[in-house]
Amino acid sequence: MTNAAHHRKEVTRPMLEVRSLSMTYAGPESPRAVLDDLNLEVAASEFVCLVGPSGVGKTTLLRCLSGLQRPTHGEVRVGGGLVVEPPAALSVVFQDYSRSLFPWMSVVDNVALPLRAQGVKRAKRLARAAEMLDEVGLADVRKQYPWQLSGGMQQRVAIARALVDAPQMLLMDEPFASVDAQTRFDLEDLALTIRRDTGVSILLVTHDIDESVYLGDRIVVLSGRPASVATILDVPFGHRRDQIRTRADPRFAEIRTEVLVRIQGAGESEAAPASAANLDLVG
Amino acid sequence: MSTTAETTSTRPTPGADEIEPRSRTFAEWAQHEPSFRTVLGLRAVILACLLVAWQLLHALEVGGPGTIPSVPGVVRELAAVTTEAGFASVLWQTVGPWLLGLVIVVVGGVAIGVVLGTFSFAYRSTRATIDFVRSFPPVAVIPLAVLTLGVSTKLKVVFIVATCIWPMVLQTIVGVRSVDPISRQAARSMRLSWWQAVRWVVLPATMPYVATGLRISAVMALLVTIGVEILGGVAGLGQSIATFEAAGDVDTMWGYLLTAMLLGVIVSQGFSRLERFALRWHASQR
Repeated sequence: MTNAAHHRKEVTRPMLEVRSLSMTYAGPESPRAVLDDLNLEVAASEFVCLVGPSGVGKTTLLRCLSGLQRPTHGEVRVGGGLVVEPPAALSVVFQDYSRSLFPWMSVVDNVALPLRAQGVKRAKRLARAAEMLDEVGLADVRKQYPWQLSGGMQQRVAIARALVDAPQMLLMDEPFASVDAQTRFDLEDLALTIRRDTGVSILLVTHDIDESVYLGDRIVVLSGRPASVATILDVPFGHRRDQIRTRADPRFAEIRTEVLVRIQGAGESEAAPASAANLDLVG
Repeated sequence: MSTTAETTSTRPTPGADEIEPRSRTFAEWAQHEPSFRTVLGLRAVILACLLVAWQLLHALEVGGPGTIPSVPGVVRELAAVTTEAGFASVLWQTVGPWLLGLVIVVVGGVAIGVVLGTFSFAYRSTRATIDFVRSFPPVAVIPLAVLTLGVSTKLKVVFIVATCIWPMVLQTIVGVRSVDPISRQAARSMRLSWWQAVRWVVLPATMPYVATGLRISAVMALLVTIGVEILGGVAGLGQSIATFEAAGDVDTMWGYLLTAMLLGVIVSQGFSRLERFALRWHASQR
């Protein structure tokens, strides 16, 4: 029921293109390669999840994608334009909302900040910020400060801020890693709703394999040192998903196992197999 | 005192989930927040000790007879000095330049601090120089400065800025350098310009450090103001202290001296309150 036929993407230019991306840090003794010849695409309105063992270089990759860092080789394009600085069409949601939101600004001022930077008039930007807060389900906390809210609510504020200047691409760096399980489910559904409502493309980095299967249209598995794309898996659940029924779908377990095998197959990490044992209790 | 009564009175009721009553460790006792009444009581005790010590010094004639007035005598002088006709203008002669100097210290200190804190090369290349310059003893040049600047407000302001700007600069540098890298990344990813990031992210994040610098500089500036008034003979509380001391009117001198000290208390406490208000968003204040 919930799993309608997998939508074929239109043949247009991808929203995000990563071509032969390599990142090597100059080390004290020898240079340390973190990313090696990485290729990746995210289509318009597509939800792609990036998984990989911890320490695989996901953060470095996100910094390159968001224009915060220049890769050693290769290129990143957002909406066709080469990324040399943080692109206007792309917004980032950081994992640590308590550090990415500014405690000296009220919730609504935090959300309106990207518009303020663009010189949007006060009344207009506050109206738009209020609209975004409604979108993420936080209508009545505008005047409060971020630190007065729960973790889940703070991450909603961060998402509202990321959406306020109508980006075409959203990068989310383990956005739900530091909230409790129920809040996490709610925020995952919020991410799906936002994609459906706004048509924004989302690239979400996570170390939670279940989360990647539940959210992604495709799952990109990173592995190796230096990291590259090990495999890309299609997830056939369509745009409408349900925490209970989607997760109970037999294909859910199949894909999850597939992801696990791919991560373990690389034989790189100790962290991933350990969590795999826990995950097998479900389904 | 009252705290021991509290701990013994809160005996756990016998029940299913009985928790072992545990006596407070020394560290817990040392860190616990005392009640307001306890604080008031302790303050009264300390004040009483101070007054007794003072009276004792007077009775023993430390420093020669008449050097330290009796407690009642000094209270009388304080009252006499502060109700005198010209007192307000004397006070303003000290407070006005102090305020002006402090404004320059804050604006200049923060501006210099932001620049030095932002650019690593600037910080690295000026650090030794700043330590060198701020170790300069201002007292040494007061006579010279009187000749070039005259006996004036300008003299006070120049000395306030020259001596009190350094805590401000150093605090701002530390503050700017410890802005959370995630905050900076968030600012960059939102495409804030450098100047926007300074105003909306770096400066607010630096405020706790600036506030500490301000509290240090404010009291320091008051001491410098009074010092310049005494040594340079510029009108104000300091000059009054010096004049009455020279005239042998030690009691009146003490009246002005205590006024200056009380001013210090007001300044220090006032800035603490201001800090609590301005930084109510900061973790240390909530």
